[in-house]
Amino acid sequence: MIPDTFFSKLEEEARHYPVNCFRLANGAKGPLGLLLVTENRSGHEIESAVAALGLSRPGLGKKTTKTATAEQADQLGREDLLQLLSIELDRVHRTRLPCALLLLDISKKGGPTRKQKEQLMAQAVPPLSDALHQIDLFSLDGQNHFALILPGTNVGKARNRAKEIQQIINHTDFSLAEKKITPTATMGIAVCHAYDTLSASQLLDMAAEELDRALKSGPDSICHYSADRREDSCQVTVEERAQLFSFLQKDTA
Amino acid sequence: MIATSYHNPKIICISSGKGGVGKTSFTVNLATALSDKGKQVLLIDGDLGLANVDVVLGLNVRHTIRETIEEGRDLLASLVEINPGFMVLPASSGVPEMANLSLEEQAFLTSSLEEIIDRFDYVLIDTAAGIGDSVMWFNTWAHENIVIITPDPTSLTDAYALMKVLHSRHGRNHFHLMINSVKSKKEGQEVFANMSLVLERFLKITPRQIGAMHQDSSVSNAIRQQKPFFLAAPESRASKEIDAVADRILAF
Repeated sequence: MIPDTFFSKLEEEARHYPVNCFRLANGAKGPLGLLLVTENRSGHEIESAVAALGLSRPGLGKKTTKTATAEQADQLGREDLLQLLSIELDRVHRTRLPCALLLLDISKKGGPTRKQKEQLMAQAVPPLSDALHQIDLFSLDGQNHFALILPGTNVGKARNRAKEIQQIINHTDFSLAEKKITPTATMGIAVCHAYDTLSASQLLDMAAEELDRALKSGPDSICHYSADRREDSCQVTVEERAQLFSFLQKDTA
Repeated sequence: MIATSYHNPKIICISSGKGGVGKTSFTVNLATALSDKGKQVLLIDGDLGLANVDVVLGLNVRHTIRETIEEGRDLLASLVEINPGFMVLPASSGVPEMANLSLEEQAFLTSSLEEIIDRFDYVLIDTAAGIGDSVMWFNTWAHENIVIITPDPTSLTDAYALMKVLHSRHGRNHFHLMINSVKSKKEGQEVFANMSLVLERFLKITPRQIGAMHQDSSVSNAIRQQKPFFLAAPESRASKEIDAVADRILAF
Protein backbone atom coordinates (compact mmCIF):
# COMPACT_ATOMS: atom_id res chain seq x y z
CA MET A 1 0.00 0.00 0.00
CA ILE A 2 1.44 3.36 -1.04
CA PRO A 3 1.53 5.77 1.91
CA ASP A 4 -0.76 8.78 1.83
CA THR A 5 2.19 11.14 2.24
CA PHE A 6 3.47 10.04 -1.16
CA PHE A 7 0.27 11.27 -2.83
CA SER A 8 0.30 14.46 -0.75
CA LYS A 9 3.82 15.25 -1.99
CA LEU A 10 2.78 14.68 -5.59
CA GLU A 11 -0.29 16.87 -5.12
CA GLU A 12 1.92 19.60 -3.70
CA GLU A 13 4.23 19.31 -6.72
CA ALA A 14 1.25 19.44 -9.11
CA ARG A 15 0.23 22.83 -7.69
CA HIS A 16 3.18 24.35 -9.55
CA TYR A 17 1.60 23.43 -12.89
CA PRO A 18 -1.62 24.56 -14.65
CA VAL A 19 -3.40 21.31 -13.85
CA ASN A 20 -6.13 20.04 -11.59
CA CYS A 21 -5.14 17.05 -9.53
CA PHE A 22 -7.52 14.25 -8.52
CA ARG A 23 -6.94 11.09 -6.52
CA LEU A 24 -8.22 7.96 -8.24
CA ALA A 25 -9.76 5.19 -6.18
CA ASN A 26 -10.94 1.69 -6.88
CA GLY A 27 -13.69 0.67 -4.47
CA ALA A 28 -12.58 0.39 -0.86
CA LYS A 29 -8.86 0.14 -1.68
CA GLY A 30 -6.50 3.03 -1.15
CA PRO A 31 -5.70 5.56 -3.86
CA LEU A 32 -4.61 4.02 -7.18
CA GLY A 33 -2.94 7.15 -8.42
CA LEU A 34 -3.35 10.75 -9.34
CA LEU A 35 -5.15 12.09 -12.37
CA LEU A 36 -3.67 15.33 -13.69
CA VAL A 37 -5.94 17.25 -16.02
CA THR A 38 -5.25 20.57 -17.67
CA GLU A 39 -7.22 23.37 -16.07
CA ASN A 40 -9.31 24.12 -19.16
CA ARG A 41 -11.11 20.73 -19.01
CA SER A 42 -14.64 20.78 -17.63
CA GLY A 43 -15.76 18.76 -14.63
CA HIS A 44 -17.99 16.65 -16.82
CA GLU A 45 -15.12 15.73 -19.14
CA ILE A 46 -13.04 14.65 -16.16
CA GLU A 47 -15.83 12.56 -14.72
CA SER A 48 -16.46 10.98 -18.08
CA ALA A 49 -12.78 10.09 -18.48
CA VAL A 50 -12.63 8.62 -14.97
CA ALA A 51 -15.79 6.61 -15.56
CA ALA A 52 -14.43 5.32 -18.87
CA LEU A 53 -11.39 4.03 -17.01
CA GLY A 54 -13.71 2.12 -14.69
CA LEU A 55 -12.37 4.04 -11.69
CA SER A 56 -13.74 6.62 -9.35
CA ARG A 57 -12.44 9.60 -7.53
CA PRO A 58 -13.60 10.67 -4.10
CA GLY A 59 -16.27 13.31 -4.39
CA LEU A 60 -17.13 12.33 -7.95
CA GLY A 61 -20.55 13.62 -8.86
CA LYS A 62 -20.65 16.24 -6.16
CA LYS A 63 -18.83 19.07 -7.84
CA THR A 64 -20.77 19.40 -11.08
CA THR A 65 -24.14 21.03 -10.84
CA LYS A 66 -25.88 18.72 -13.30
CA THR A 67 -25.26 15.49 -11.46
CA ALA A 68 -28.02 13.88 -9.49
CA THR A 69 -28.30 14.49 -5.80
CA ALA A 70 -30.23 12.36 -3.40
CA GLU A 71 -32.85 15.06 -3.05
CA GLN A 72 -33.69 15.72 -6.64
CA ALA A 73 -32.21 15.06 -10.06
CA ASP A 74 -31.43 18.35 -11.71
CA GLN A 75 -33.78 19.49 -14.39
CA LEU A 76 -31.91 19.58 -17.66
CA GLY A 77 -32.94 21.20 -20.89
CA ARG A 78 -32.45 19.48 -24.23
CA GLU A 79 -29.74 21.96 -25.16
CA ASP A 80 -27.82 21.29 -21.93
CA LEU A 81 -27.98 17.56 -22.55
CA LEU A 82 -26.87 18.01 -26.16
CA GLN A 83 -23.90 20.01 -24.95
CA LEU A 84 -22.87 17.25 -22.56
CA LEU A 85 -23.44 14.62 -25.23
CA SER A 86 -21.25 16.58 -27.65
CA ILE A 87 -18.42 16.44 -25.13
CA GLU A 88 -18.96 12.70 -24.82
CA LEU A 89 -19.03 12.13 -28.59
CA ASP A 90 -15.83 14.09 -28.95
CA ARG A 91 -14.30 11.83 -26.33
CA VAL A 92 -15.61 8.75 -28.18
CA HIS A 93 -13.71 9.81 -31.28
CA ARG A 94 -10.56 10.65 -29.33
CA THR A 95 -10.44 7.54 -27.16
CA ARG A 96 -12.33 5.20 -29.51
CA LEU A 97 -14.39 3.96 -26.57
CA PRO A 98 -18.15 3.87 -27.13
CA CYS A 99 -20.73 5.84 -25.21
CA ALA A 100 -24.32 4.91 -24.49
CA LEU A 101 -27.28 7.16 -23.82
CA LEU A 102 -30.06 5.55 -21.81
CA LEU A 103 -33.51 7.09 -21.47
CA LEU A 104 -35.52 5.73 -18.57
CA ASP A 105 -39.27 6.02 -18.20
CA ILE A 106 -40.70 5.25 -14.77
CA SER A 107 -44.41 4.69 -14.77
CA LYS A 108 -47.11 2.47 -13.35
CA LYS A 109 -49.45 0.04 -14.97
CA GLY A 110 -52.65 1.71 -16.09
CA GLY A 111 -50.88 5.01 -16.76
CA PRO A 112 -50.24 7.61 -14.05
CA THR A 113 -51.28 11.24 -14.14
CA ARG A 114 -48.54 13.80 -14.76
CA LYS A 115 -48.38 14.58 -11.04
CA GLN A 116 -48.20 10.89 -10.11
CA LYS A 117 -45.37 10.45 -12.61
CA GLU A 118 -43.46 13.34 -11.10
CA GLN A 119 -43.88 11.73 -7.68
CA LEU A 120 -42.61 8.39 -8.97
CA MET A 121 -39.60 10.04 -10.55
CA ALA A 122 -38.80 11.93 -7.37
CA GLN A 123 -38.99 8.69 -5.37
CA ALA A 124 -36.70 6.95 -7.88
CA VAL A 125 -33.88 9.47 -7.55
CA PRO A 126 -32.44 8.43 -4.13
CA PRO A 127 -32.09 4.70 -4.85
CA LEU A 128 -30.82 5.32 -8.37
CA SER A 129 -28.25 7.91 -7.42
CA ASP A 130 -27.06 5.69 -4.55
CA ALA A 131 -26.69 2.65 -6.77
CA LEU A 132 -25.66 4.05 -10.12
CA HIS A 133 -22.04 4.74 -9.39
CA GLN A 134 -20.15 7.05 -11.74
CA ILE A 135 -22.97 7.93 -14.04
CA ASP A 136 -24.94 11.06 -14.55
CA LEU A 137 -28.64 11.00 -13.89
CA PHE A 138 -30.69 13.76 -15.38
CA SER A 139 -34.37 14.43 -15.61
CA LEU A 140 -35.05 16.06 -18.93
CA ASP A 141 -36.83 19.34 -18.53
CA GLY A 142 -40.34 19.06 -19.96
CA GLN A 143 -39.99 15.30 -20.47
CA ASN A 144 -41.19 12.61 -18.15
CA HIS A 145 -38.09 10.51 -18.18
CA PHE A 146 -34.50 10.38 -17.01
CA ALA A 147 -31.45 10.51 -19.22
CA LEU A 148 -28.28 8.67 -18.28
CA ILE A 149 -25.00 9.10 -20.10
CA LEU A 150 -22.85 5.99 -19.85
CA PRO A 151 -19.26 6.69 -20.97
CA GLY A 152 -17.17 3.75 -22.18
CA THR A 153 -20.25 1.58 -22.50
CA ASN A 154 -21.15 -0.62 -25.45
CA VAL A 155 -24.60 -2.03 -26.09
CA GLY A 156 -24.06 -5.19 -24.01
CA LYS A 157 -22.88 -3.26 -20.98
CA ALA A 158 -25.66 -0.71 -21.41
CA ARG A 159 -28.31 -3.43 -21.44
CA ASN A 160 -26.77 -4.96 -18.30
CA ARG A 161 -26.90 -1.53 -16.66
CA ALA A 162 -30.52 -1.21 -17.76
CA LYS A 163 -31.37 -4.52 -16.09
CA GLU A 164 -29.62 -3.36 -12.90
CA ILE A 165 -31.77 -0.23 -12.97
CA GLN A 166 -34.90 -2.33 -13.36
CA GLN A 167 -33.88 -4.41 -10.34
CA ILE A 168 -33.30 -1.28 -8.28
CA ILE A 169 -36.73 0.05 -9.21
CA ASN A 170 -38.36 -3.34 -8.52
CA HIS A 171 -36.75 -3.57 -5.08
CA THR A 172 -37.66 -0.06 -4.01
CA ASP A 173 -40.86 0.79 -2.20
CA PHE A 174 -42.86 3.32 -4.17
CA SER A 175 -46.11 4.80 -3.01
CA LEU A 176 -48.78 7.00 -4.46
CA ALA A 177 -51.40 8.50 -2.15
CA GLU A 178 -50.00 6.34 0.66
CA LYS A 179 -50.64 3.22 -1.38
CA LYS A 180 -47.73 0.92 -2.21
CA ILE A 181 -47.19 0.36 -5.91
CA THR A 182 -44.67 -1.43 -8.13
CA PRO A 183 -43.66 0.92 -10.93
CA THR A 184 -42.43 -0.08 -14.35
CA ALA A 185 -39.01 0.88 -15.71
CA THR A 186 -38.95 1.04 -19.49
CA MET A 187 -35.78 2.03 -21.31
CA GLY A 188 -34.43 3.04 -24.68
CA ILE A 189 -30.70 2.91 -25.40
CA ALA A 190 -28.61 4.33 -28.22
CA VAL A 191 -24.89 3.68 -28.48
CA CYS A 192 -22.33 5.70 -30.38
CA HIS A 193 -19.13 3.96 -31.45
CA ALA A 194 -15.98 5.62 -32.75
CA TYR A 195 -16.91 4.51 -36.26
CA ASP A 196 -20.39 6.05 -36.08
CA THR A 197 -20.81 9.49 -37.53
CA LEU A 198 -23.56 10.63 -35.18
CA SER A 199 -24.25 14.09 -33.85
CA ALA A 200 -25.42 14.60 -30.28
CA SER A 201 -28.96 15.38 -31.43
CA GLN A 202 -29.04 12.26 -33.61
CA LEU A 203 -27.96 10.13 -30.66
CA LEU A 204 -30.61 11.69 -28.44
CA ASP A 205 -33.28 11.24 -31.12
CA MET A 206 -32.27 7.61 -31.60
CA ALA A 207 -32.48 6.94 -27.86
CA ALA A 208 -35.90 8.64 -27.81
CA GLU A 209 -37.04 6.45 -30.72
CA GLU A 210 -35.87 3.35 -28.87
CA LEU A 211 -37.69 4.46 -25.73
CA ASP A 212 -40.82 5.01 -27.79
CA ARG A 213 -40.41 1.53 -29.28
CA ALA A 214 -39.91 0.07 -25.79
CA LEU A 215 -43.01 1.82 -24.46
CA LYS A 216 -45.03 0.38 -27.33
CA SER A 217 -43.55 -3.09 -26.69
CA GLY A 218 -44.93 -3.08 -23.16
CA PRO A 219 -43.91 -2.16 -19.61
CA ASP A 220 -40.35 -2.97 -18.50
CA SER A 221 -39.16 -3.40 -22.09
CA ILE A 222 -35.61 -2.43 -23.05
CA CYS A 223 -34.89 -1.53 -26.66
CA HIS A 224 -31.55 -0.51 -28.07
CA TYR A 225 -30.00 0.88 -31.19
CA SER A 226 -26.45 0.24 -32.24
CA ALA A 227 -24.51 -0.63 -35.35
CA ASP A 228 -25.07 -4.36 -34.90
CA ARG A 229 -28.63 -3.91 -36.11
CA ARG A 230 -27.16 -2.83 -39.43
CA GLU A 231 -24.89 -5.87 -39.66
CA ASP A 232 -26.50 -7.35 -42.76
CA SER A 233 -26.22 -4.09 -44.66
CA CYS A 234 -22.56 -4.85 -45.41
CA GLN A 235 -23.16 -8.25 -46.97
CA VAL A 236 -21.71 -8.32 -50.50
CA THR A 237 -24.75 -8.94 -52.69
CA VAL A 238 -25.09 -11.25 -55.68
CA GLU A 239 -25.37 -8.19 -57.95
CA GLU A 240 -22.17 -6.69 -56.57
CA ARG A 241 -20.33 -9.96 -57.06
CA ALA A 242 -21.58 -10.34 -60.61
CA GLN A 243 -20.32 -6.86 -61.42
CA LEU A 244 -16.98 -7.49 -59.69
CA PHE A 245 -16.35 -10.60 -61.77
CA SER A 246 -17.71 -9.22 -65.05
CA PHE A 247 -14.31 -8.34 -66.50
CA LEU A 248 -13.01 -11.83 -65.70
CA GLN A 249 -15.86 -13.35 -67.66
CA LYS A 250 -15.02 -11.09 -70.62
CA ASP A 251 -11.42 -12.34 -70.50
CA THR A 252 -12.55 -15.97 -70.44
CA ALA A 253 -14.91 -15.41 -73.37
CA MET B 1 18.47 7.19 -33.77
CA ILE B 2 15.05 8.75 -33.59
CA ALA B 3 14.55 12.20 -35.05
CA THR B 4 13.49 14.64 -32.35
CA SER B 5 12.02 17.41 -34.51
CA TYR B 6 8.24 17.41 -34.61
CA HIS B 7 6.30 16.73 -37.79
CA ASN B 8 2.70 16.47 -38.74
CA PRO B 9 2.71 12.83 -39.77
CA LYS B 10 0.52 11.44 -42.51
CA ILE B 11 -0.93 8.15 -41.32
CA ILE B 12 -1.52 5.68 -44.14
CA CYS B 13 -3.21 2.33 -43.56
CA ILE B 14 -2.61 -0.53 -45.99
CA SER B 15 -5.23 -3.30 -46.05
CA SER B 16 -6.56 -5.84 -48.49
CA GLY B 17 -9.35 -7.92 -47.03
CA LYS B 18 -7.78 -11.12 -48.35
CA GLY B 19 -4.42 -12.34 -47.09
CA GLY B 20 -1.47 -13.24 -49.28
CA VAL B 21 -1.89 -10.46 -51.84
CA GLY B 22 1.47 -8.83 -51.11
CA LYS B 23 0.41 -6.33 -48.49
CA THR B 24 3.43 -6.65 -46.21
CA SER B 25 5.93 -6.72 -49.06
CA PHE B 26 4.30 -3.62 -50.58
CA THR B 27 4.30 -1.76 -47.25
CA VAL B 28 7.90 -2.61 -46.36
CA ASN B 29 9.13 -1.52 -49.79
CA LEU B 30 7.00 1.62 -49.79
CA ALA B 31 8.49 2.57 -46.41
CA THR B 32 11.97 1.89 -47.80
CA ALA B 33 11.27 4.04 -50.87
CA LEU B 34 9.88 6.92 -48.80
CA SER B 35 12.88 6.86 -46.47
CA ASP B 36 15.13 6.79 -49.56
CA LYS B 37 13.48 10.09 -50.53
CA GLY B 38 14.59 11.63 -47.25
CA LYS B 39 11.38 11.12 -45.27
CA GLN B 40 11.15 9.91 -41.68
CA VAL B 41 9.00 6.80 -41.82
CA LEU B 42 7.47 4.62 -39.12
CA LEU B 43 6.11 1.25 -40.19
CA ILE B 44 3.68 -0.26 -37.68
CA ASP B 45 3.02 -3.97 -37.97
CA GLY B 46 -0.74 -3.85 -37.54
CA ASP B 47 -1.15 -7.61 -37.75
CA LEU B 48 -0.97 -7.75 -33.98
CA GLY B 49 -1.41 -11.51 -33.55
CA LEU B 50 0.35 -12.83 -36.66
CA ALA B 51 3.02 -10.27 -37.43
CA ASN B 52 5.51 -10.69 -40.25
CA VAL B 53 7.00 -7.31 -41.10
CA ASP B 54 9.99 -8.45 -39.03
CA VAL B 55 10.19 -11.63 -41.10
CA VAL B 56 10.18 -9.76 -44.41
CA LEU B 57 12.94 -7.48 -43.08
CA GLY B 58 14.96 -10.28 -41.48
CA LEU B 59 14.79 -8.75 -38.00
CA ASN B 60 15.35 -10.49 -34.69
CA VAL B 61 12.77 -8.79 -32.56
CA ARG B 62 12.97 -8.80 -28.78
CA HIS B 63 10.19 -6.38 -27.90
CA THR B 64 6.88 -5.74 -29.61
CA ILE B 65 3.62 -3.84 -29.22
CA ARG B 66 2.56 -6.68 -26.93
CA GLU B 67 4.85 -5.49 -24.12
CA THR B 68 3.27 -2.06 -24.32
CA ILE B 69 -0.24 -3.48 -24.06
CA GLU B 70 0.52 -6.03 -21.37
CA GLU B 71 3.25 -4.32 -19.34
CA GLY B 72 2.88 -0.65 -20.22
CA ARG B 73 6.38 -0.61 -21.74
CA ASP B 74 7.27 2.58 -23.62
CA LEU B 75 6.61 2.08 -27.35
CA LEU B 76 9.78 4.00 -28.21
CA ALA B 77 11.82 1.22 -26.60
CA SER B 78 10.28 -1.30 -29.00
CA LEU B 79 11.15 0.60 -32.18
CA VAL B 80 13.68 -1.05 -34.46
CA GLU B 81 15.82 1.15 -36.69
CA ILE B 82 16.21 -0.12 -40.24
CA ASN B 83 18.00 3.01 -41.40
CA PRO B 84 18.11 6.54 -39.96
CA GLY B 85 14.87 7.42 -41.75
CA PHE B 86 12.99 4.15 -41.31
CA MET B 87 11.81 2.67 -38.03
CA VAL B 88 9.65 -0.40 -37.48
CA LEU B 89 7.26 -1.05 -34.62
CA PRO B 90 7.01 -4.84 -34.58
CA ALA B 91 4.08 -6.90 -33.34
CA SER B 92 3.91 -10.39 -31.89
CA SER B 93 3.26 -13.62 -33.72
CA GLY B 94 1.18 -16.50 -32.43
CA VAL B 95 -0.53 -14.53 -29.69
CA PRO B 96 -4.30 -14.83 -30.16
CA GLU B 97 -5.03 -12.32 -27.37
CA MET B 98 -3.29 -9.60 -29.36
CA ALA B 99 -5.55 -10.20 -32.34
CA ASN B 100 -8.59 -9.34 -30.24
CA LEU B 101 -7.76 -6.26 -28.22
CA SER B 102 -10.46 -4.90 -25.95
CA LEU B 103 -11.78 -1.41 -26.50
CA GLU B 104 -9.75 -0.19 -23.54
CA GLU B 105 -6.56 -1.77 -24.90
CA GLN B 106 -7.21 -0.22 -28.31
CA ALA B 107 -7.66 3.18 -26.70
CA PHE B 108 -4.46 2.73 -24.71
CA LEU B 109 -2.53 1.72 -27.83
CA THR B 110 -3.91 4.70 -29.76
CA SER B 111 -2.78 7.14 -27.09
CA SER B 112 0.64 5.43 -26.84
CA LEU B 113 1.07 5.64 -30.62
CA GLU B 114 0.01 9.26 -30.69
CA GLU B 115 2.83 10.03 -28.27
CA ILE B 116 5.51 8.78 -30.66
CA ILE B 117 4.30 9.42 -34.20
CA ASP B 118 4.99 13.14 -34.36
CA ARG B 119 8.67 12.33 -34.87
CA PHE B 120 7.85 11.00 -38.32
CA ASP B 121 6.67 12.33 -41.69
CA TYR B 122 4.82 9.15 -42.61
CA VAL B 123 3.30 6.40 -40.51
CA LEU B 124 2.48 3.28 -42.54
CA ILE B 125 0.33 0.55 -41.01
CA ASP B 126 0.40 -2.96 -42.41
CA THR B 127 -2.88 -4.40 -41.13
CA ALA B 128 -4.01 -7.97 -40.72
CA ALA B 129 -6.15 -9.61 -43.37
CA GLY B 130 -9.90 -9.71 -42.83
CA ILE B 131 -12.34 -7.18 -41.45
CA GLY B 132 -11.69 -7.66 -37.74
CA ASP B 133 -11.79 -4.95 -35.11
CA SER B 134 -8.10 -4.08 -35.33
CA VAL B 135 -8.30 -3.70 -39.11
CA MET B 136 -11.26 -1.36 -38.79
CA TRP B 137 -9.64 0.53 -35.96
CA PHE B 138 -6.33 1.12 -37.77
CA ASN B 139 -8.19 2.12 -40.94
CA THR B 140 -10.32 4.67 -39.12
CA TRP B 141 -7.29 6.04 -37.27
CA ALA B 142 -5.43 6.64 -40.53
CA HIS B 143 -5.67 9.71 -42.75
CA GLU B 144 -5.43 7.71 -45.96
CA ASN B 145 -6.50 4.18 -46.83
CA ILE B 146 -4.70 2.08 -49.41
CA VAL B 147 -6.41 -1.16 -50.45
CA ILE B 148 -4.36 -3.78 -52.26
CA ILE B 149 -6.14 -5.94 -54.80
CA THR B 150 -5.07 -8.58 -57.27
CA PRO B 151 -7.02 -9.76 -60.32
CA ASP B 152 -8.21 -12.87 -58.40
CA PRO B 153 -11.96 -13.07 -57.73
CA THR B 154 -11.36 -13.81 -54.04
CA SER B 155 -9.16 -10.74 -53.65
CA LEU B 156 -11.69 -8.56 -55.49
CA THR B 157 -14.56 -9.77 -53.31
CA ASP B 158 -12.68 -9.39 -50.04
CA ALA B 159 -11.29 -5.96 -50.91
CA TYR B 160 -14.74 -4.77 -51.95
CA ALA B 161 -16.25 -6.16 -48.73
CA LEU B 162 -13.58 -4.35 -46.70
CA MET B 163 -14.30 -1.05 -48.44
CA LYS B 164 -18.03 -1.59 -48.08
CA VAL B 165 -17.73 -2.07 -44.31
CA LEU B 166 -15.35 0.88 -43.96
CA HIS B 167 -17.73 3.04 -45.96
CA SER B 168 -21.03 1.86 -44.48
CA ARG B 169 -20.05 1.63 -40.86
CA HIS B 170 -17.10 3.94 -40.53
CA GLY B 171 -17.89 6.70 -42.99
CA ARG B 172 -14.68 6.25 -45.04
CA ASN B 173 -15.12 7.51 -48.59
CA HIS B 174 -11.63 7.86 -50.03
CA PHE B 175 -9.71 4.79 -51.06
CA HIS B 176 -6.48 4.45 -53.00
CA LEU B 177 -6.31 1.20 -54.92
CA MET B 178 -3.04 -0.60 -55.50
CA ILE B 179 -3.33 -3.34 -58.11
CA ASN B 180 -0.80 -6.06 -57.44
CA SER B 181 0.40 -9.09 -59.43
CA VAL B 182 -0.90 -7.98 -62.81
CA LYS B 183 0.29 -9.68 -65.99
CA SER B 184 0.06 -6.57 -68.12
CA LYS B 185 -0.64 -2.86 -67.91
CA LYS B 186 -3.98 -3.53 -69.62
CA GLU B 187 -4.97 -6.04 -66.95
CA GLY B 188 -4.17 -3.51 -64.23
CA GLN B 189 -6.30 -0.88 -65.94
CA GLU B 190 -9.19 -3.33 -66.33
CA VAL B 191 -9.08 -4.37 -62.68
CA PHE B 192 -9.09 -0.76 -61.52
CA ALA B 193 -11.81 0.30 -63.97
CA ASN B 194 -14.03 -2.58 -62.94
CA MET B 195 -13.58 -2.04 -59.22
CA SER B 196 -14.23 1.68 -59.70
CA LEU B 197 -17.43 0.89 -61.56
CA VAL B 198 -18.72 -1.36 -58.75
CA LEU B 199 -17.76 1.14 -56.03
CA GLU B 200 -19.39 4.03 -57.86
CA ARG B 201 -22.52 2.09 -58.74
CA PHE B 202 -23.23 0.46 -55.39
CA LEU B 203 -21.47 2.64 -52.81
CA LYS B 204 -21.36 5.97 -54.68
CA ILE B 205 -17.66 6.38 -54.01
CA THR B 206 -14.86 7.06 -56.47
CA PRO B 207 -11.53 5.40 -55.73
CA ARG B 208 -8.15 6.59 -56.94
CA GLN B 209 -5.47 4.34 -58.35
CA ILE B 210 -2.16 4.73 -56.60
CA GLY B 211 -0.28 2.26 -58.74
CA ALA B 212 0.01 -1.19 -60.23
CA MET B 213 2.71 -3.80 -59.82
CA HIS B 214 3.53 -6.49 -62.32
CA GLN B 215 4.33 -10.05 -61.38
CA ASP B 216 8.06 -9.94 -60.83
CA SER B 217 10.39 -12.70 -59.67
CA SER B 218 12.59 -10.16 -57.88
CA VAL B 219 9.76 -9.71 -55.36
CA SER B 220 9.66 -13.36 -54.30
CA ASN B 221 13.46 -13.59 -54.43
CA ALA B 222 13.79 -10.61 -52.08
CA ILE B 223 11.25 -12.08 -49.65
CA ARG B 224 13.32 -15.26 -49.47
CA GLN B 225 16.41 -13.16 -48.81
CA GLN B 226 14.42 -11.25 -46.17
CA LYS B 227 15.31 -7.92 -47.77
CA PRO B 228 13.19 -5.22 -49.39
CA PHE B 229 13.28 -5.70 -53.17
CA PHE B 230 13.71 -1.93 -53.41
CA LEU B 231 17.22 -2.50 -52.01
CA ALA B 232 17.94 -6.06 -53.21
CA ALA B 233 16.93 -5.34 -56.81
CA PRO B 234 16.82 -1.56 -57.24
CA GLU B 235 16.70 -1.79 -61.03
CA SER B 236 13.81 -4.24 -61.10
CA ARG B 237 10.43 -3.29 -62.53
CA ALA B 238 8.88 -3.77 -59.08
CA SER B 239 11.31 -1.24 -57.56
CA LYS B 240 10.50 1.34 -60.21
CA GLU B 241 6.79 0.79 -59.68
CA ILE B 242 7.08 1.19 -55.92
CA ASP B 243 9.18 4.32 -56.45
CA ALA B 244 6.34 5.76 -58.53
CA VAL B 245 3.86 4.95 -55.75
CA ALA B 246 6.12 6.71 -53.23
CA ASP B 247 6.16 9.81 -55.47
CA ARG B 248 2.36 9.81 -55.57
CA ILE B 249 2.23 9.50 -51.79
CA LEU B 250 4.54 12.50 -51.42
CA ALA B 251 1.92 14.44 -53.38
CA PHE B 252 -0.94 13.50 -50.97
